[in-house]
Amino acid sequence: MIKGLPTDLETFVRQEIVNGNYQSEEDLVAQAVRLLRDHESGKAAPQPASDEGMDQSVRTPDDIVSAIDQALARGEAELARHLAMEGAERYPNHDELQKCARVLAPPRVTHVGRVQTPSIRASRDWLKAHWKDYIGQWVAVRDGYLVHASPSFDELASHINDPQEMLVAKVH
Amino acid sequence: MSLTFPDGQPFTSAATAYRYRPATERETVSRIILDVQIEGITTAAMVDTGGLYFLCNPRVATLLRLDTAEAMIGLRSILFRGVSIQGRLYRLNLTLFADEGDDFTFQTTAFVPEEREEESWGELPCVLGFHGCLERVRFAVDPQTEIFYFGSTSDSY
Repeated sequence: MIKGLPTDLETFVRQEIVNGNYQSEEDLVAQAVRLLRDHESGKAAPQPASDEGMDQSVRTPDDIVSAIDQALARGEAELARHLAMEGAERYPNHDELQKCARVLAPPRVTHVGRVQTPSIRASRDWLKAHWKDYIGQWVAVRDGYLVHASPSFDELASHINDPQEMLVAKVH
Repeated sequence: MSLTFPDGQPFTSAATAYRYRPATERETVSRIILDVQIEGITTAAMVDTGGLYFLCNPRVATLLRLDTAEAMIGLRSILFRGVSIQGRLYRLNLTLFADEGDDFTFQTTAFVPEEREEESWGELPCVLGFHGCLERVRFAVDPQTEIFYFGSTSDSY
């Protein structure tokens, strides 16, 4: 709803929601439009009942977790991330908020360099060479050798003891 | 093998061949499919720059043996190809394998469907979405040679 707003207004909207002054973007926009309507008609702007007597500086961590849940349910991934990051900064000892921030944070590079072992490389080479022979099947490949192939993943999985360093894929 | 900016600074630092073919037997549109490693398991993943997160194939997910205590609390639903799928959000380690240059490992937001969602998921591989997954990766595609170039951005560490 706030896409297309100038950056300073978009920041203001997000901050107001984080501070608990509004439940959602829709809530804030509705109030803004009410003010504009009242301004245009020359009336004094009424205060929403929910704001009366409320200490706006207080918003519990659980409220923020709830707001993150709601944002995710609406598909607003950017807002969910923003709420999580702000909430985690504000409540550094709240485990769930910390977890939300960790999970939803922007991707972070942890390693640039060789991860691919000769075993993995050999398995990828095997798939490149043999995929046409196994179309429609799940394959498990280790060290460049086929461990098992089956149209059924469950059947394949019964032949896998340790999937680490194994290539497992459905061939198409 | 790397691509460079006009001033010679690197744009990408690695390259890998991709497979360009339908992601399932029923599909007719080809996808860019890469070999990736998710928490130690090598598998296939298709690129979806309009998508969210890293979406893990639910069958592959069973091999990861993830602890739900590591996920954000609660089941989430995503609309995936017109079907609502339930799963959990995790932070997982994902590696893009390079044929030339350096492999590239990063932490991604991963949606892991519940095991019961296997039928809804169908035969699709894992999916590399943009937000939460590829958004800190520089990448370029050469459709003539079917090479996927990739590297890090300055703010991806």
